[in-house]
Amino acid sequence: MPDSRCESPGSNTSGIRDRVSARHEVKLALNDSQITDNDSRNGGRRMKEGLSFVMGVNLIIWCGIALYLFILDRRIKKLEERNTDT
Amino acid sequence: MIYKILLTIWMAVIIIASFLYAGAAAGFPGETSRILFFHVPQAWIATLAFLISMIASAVYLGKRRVKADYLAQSAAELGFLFCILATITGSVFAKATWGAFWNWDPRQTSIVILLMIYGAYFSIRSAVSDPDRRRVFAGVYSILAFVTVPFLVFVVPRITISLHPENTMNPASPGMDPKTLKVFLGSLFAYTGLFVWMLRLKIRVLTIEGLRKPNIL
Repeated sequence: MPDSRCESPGSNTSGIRDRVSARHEVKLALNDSQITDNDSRNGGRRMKEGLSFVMGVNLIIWCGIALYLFILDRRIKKLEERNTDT
Repeated sequence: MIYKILLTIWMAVIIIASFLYAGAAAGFPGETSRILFFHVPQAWIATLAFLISMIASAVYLGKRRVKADYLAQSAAELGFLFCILATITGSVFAKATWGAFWNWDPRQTSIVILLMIYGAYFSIRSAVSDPDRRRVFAGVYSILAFVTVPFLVFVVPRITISLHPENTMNPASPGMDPKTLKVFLGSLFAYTGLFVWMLRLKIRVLTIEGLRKPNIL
């Protein structure tokens, strides 16, 4: 499986042409890596497992943020009520 | 309250759909293109927040309403937060596709300049002790700062050669998968709802603080 990662184009200071050709090389490398991922059953399964993990982490983070915002909402409401009372 | 519960459910649905419903775009390694559903809405919210901050600042300078200043400050803070999030998610994508978290691409450079410009906004707010003068200075600066936003976000990355994906990720491009477009628009909607929720919370906090310590805010 070819390595989809390549050298940072920003580190190449030899001009605009080099950057453009580097971009094409990146795209070609990426296309190659995607074909191999799709063709390989094990690779595909590994990818799906990784995807589920990332999705789970995302959901947990979102639930945490939402819970925090709900708690904050309630606390602010109490402070507002206290301010109107005084 | 109902819209907050609906937003919580909607965002969870979008997260699941972005991984299970929408497919990965061609031309990107593995599943990295799915960052589109999180990175682009964050950048959109940052731009929207800076725009709101600029409008609210103009309203404050015109009518001297403290509430407008609260809105300007809250929007600028949230814009800064979402700008940082967009920078982080962009760096993760850069590592996976370009091989490095940071390589001074025009898009990356322009976002750093934007962060520095809005970082200075908070410096101005904390440097002036008189509340009225602080609001005026911050208001004028917010308007001037927003002038650079269209230039840094839309113009610079397009007039220079950048590795940042444009056509493949652009919803207007004919190559975008309909499923991807649906999830992307749903994500934009969810992030906008989240921003409105956070913005209202921040304004309420500033209002309470303003009532308690009128000389500080």
